[in-house]
Amino acid sequence: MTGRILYAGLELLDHQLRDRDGRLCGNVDDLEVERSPDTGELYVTAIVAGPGALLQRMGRRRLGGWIERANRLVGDQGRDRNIIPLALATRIGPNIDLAVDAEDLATADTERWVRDHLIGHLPGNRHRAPE
Amino acid sequence: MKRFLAVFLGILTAIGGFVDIGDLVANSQTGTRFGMNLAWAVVLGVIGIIVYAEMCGRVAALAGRPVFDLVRERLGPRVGLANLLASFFINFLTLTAELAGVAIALSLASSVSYLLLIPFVAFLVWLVIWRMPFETMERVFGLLGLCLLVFAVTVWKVGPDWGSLFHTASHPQVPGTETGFTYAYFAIALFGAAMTPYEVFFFSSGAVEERWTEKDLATNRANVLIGFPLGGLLSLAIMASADLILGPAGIDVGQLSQVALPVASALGRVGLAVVLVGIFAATFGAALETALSAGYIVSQYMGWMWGKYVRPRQASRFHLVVLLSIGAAMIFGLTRVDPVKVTEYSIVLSAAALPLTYFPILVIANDPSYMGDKTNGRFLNAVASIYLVILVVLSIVTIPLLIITKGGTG
Amino acid sequence: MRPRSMARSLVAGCGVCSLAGCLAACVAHPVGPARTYAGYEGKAVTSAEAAQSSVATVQLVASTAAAGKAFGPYTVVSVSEQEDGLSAVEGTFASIQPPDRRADALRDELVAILSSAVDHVADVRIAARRGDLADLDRVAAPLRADAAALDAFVARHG
Repeated sequence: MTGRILYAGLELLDHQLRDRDGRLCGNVDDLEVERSPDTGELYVTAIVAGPGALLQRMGRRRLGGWIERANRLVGDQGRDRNIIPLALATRIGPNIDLAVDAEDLATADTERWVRDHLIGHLPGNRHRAPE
Repeated sequence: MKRFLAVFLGILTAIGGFVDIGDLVANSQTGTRFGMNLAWAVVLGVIGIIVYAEMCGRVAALAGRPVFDLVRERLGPRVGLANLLASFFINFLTLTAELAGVAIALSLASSVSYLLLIPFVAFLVWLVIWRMPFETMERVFGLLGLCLLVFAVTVWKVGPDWGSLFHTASHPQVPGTETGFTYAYFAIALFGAAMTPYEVFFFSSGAVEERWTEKDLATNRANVLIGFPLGGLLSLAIMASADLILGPAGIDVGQLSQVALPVASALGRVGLAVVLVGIFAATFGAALETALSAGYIVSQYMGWMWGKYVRPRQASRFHLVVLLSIGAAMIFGLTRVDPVKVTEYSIVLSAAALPLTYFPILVIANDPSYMGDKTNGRFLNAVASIYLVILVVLSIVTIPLLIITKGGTG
Repeated sequence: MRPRSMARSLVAGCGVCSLAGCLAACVAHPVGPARTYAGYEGKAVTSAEAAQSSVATVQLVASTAAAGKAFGPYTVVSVSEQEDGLSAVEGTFASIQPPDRRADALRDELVAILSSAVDHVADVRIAARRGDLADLDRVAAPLRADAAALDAFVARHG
């Protein structure tokens, strides 16, 4: 396995995620790290972003767990979509660009819920922003 | 010619948008109690906000990121969260005060009780945010805010002894009727009124909303370097009006209506009408900015889509936060809380919380990976570092002073 | 990480305290009891000074309106605000328990002055509501005596 050497804390964690259309879709809340069996080095394998992930990283595991479960009630899929394989990251810089649609990520669940149940009912919510 | 007009409009908007209810209250109260002995605090605050806003604008234009976006990234999620909670709370107080200010301005023109008007004002603020384009919003209320120039006209009309006015401003001392503690407290209040954090959240997010690029940096500098000092002069005009007319009468400012009194006394009904329009515009504009700021800082910390530059349904959580903040501020205002007291607390706490937002900006403005080759120059860094020290000192002494002076009354 | 968690608790504590303190102070203005004559006298002077500002404001608003320099709604709202403020000052001061007999005399004196001021301000408010702006100077004339009484009180006890 090869890869870039980064200061994960500085260059990955808490950075803004953007989807393939440039839309903002969350921050890097946590990272999944594996130790290579041969060299013993640590490799970042996935980005964790989504409801509850940040709280779990900050040590509030139970609260983070609740929020994650609550989010599953709001989103339709049951599987764990907080985890974004690092292979999907097309560019790592001040923003981290992902080759996915924001809609597919876990963080979009509450956005969708708020849109469908609240904001979407207000007149003018489709109003095009002028250039 | 068109370019010149755009820059000119930008400067006017910056002047008119500079003053909000915090400046109105702080400058009036200080004017009656201390005369011009605290004018230096306004000057200091104006220089501070110029430094601050220039850096924010530059960061927004070059890195495409607003302040709060970067707070979590550079300071970490824990400090970022503390920052978010503190900023959100102070922002909430400010929003309540501004909503009340709009309601009071309307009530002074209509004699309907301001409490009845608060829900109407809250709805109006939300509606403008929901529908009015960003630039239009800024322009309209910024330019209308220029009506507050009537305070400068008031000072001129009264025809004071300019010599003694300048002398007091340049040789400040603690008046016999006040203590060193109240003097320091009001200096902090004036400073906080000039350097309000929400202005920076709004300013930097607004720069991203308007898609600023490197080309816009010059315009930004013009707005900031010309507009803000003139806005500061406007603040000093409010202070001087209070000093010249309310001070000798022994009036202590505890109501927004008293802020407008010098103008009525000097210029009559026309002046009064103009100043009420100005107060309405200034507080309404500030309410818009504070409400949007609430949405900005939460969304930016969480990484949500934010902004008016996309369709509302594409930034649903952002708009929900804005809506709920306005609602909560409306409810708080309806509890008959004293608007002037809320204003005082919001500006003083703003001053105390300044390092939280100021420090990350200073760090980012020096980071070549965000700024390219346009990092801070040495002179700017020197000034900015001095301000950082000032802000940290303010942070430490504000709460004790608040307690010792019993909120400025002691 | 003991120092870090201590620092965190400290910051959290400060935050909660200032939050609670601010909200509480914003909503109510509690006045504590006075245990000594000097303390009571101090509160009396503070009340008198607040009243001085209200009376002076009403006088200025009245003369401004009488000179045709202020319109109806502004005048009415301004005077009403000061009337409410004065009543609140009177009510708050009257509710403080005087610590001794000497304080009783002080209480009677100030409450009488404040009461008179509230009455006269109410007169101004009534006239303003009726639209008699040009007459407000005359209606506000009794406030001169109230202002003088307050000044004398503050000079004597302040």
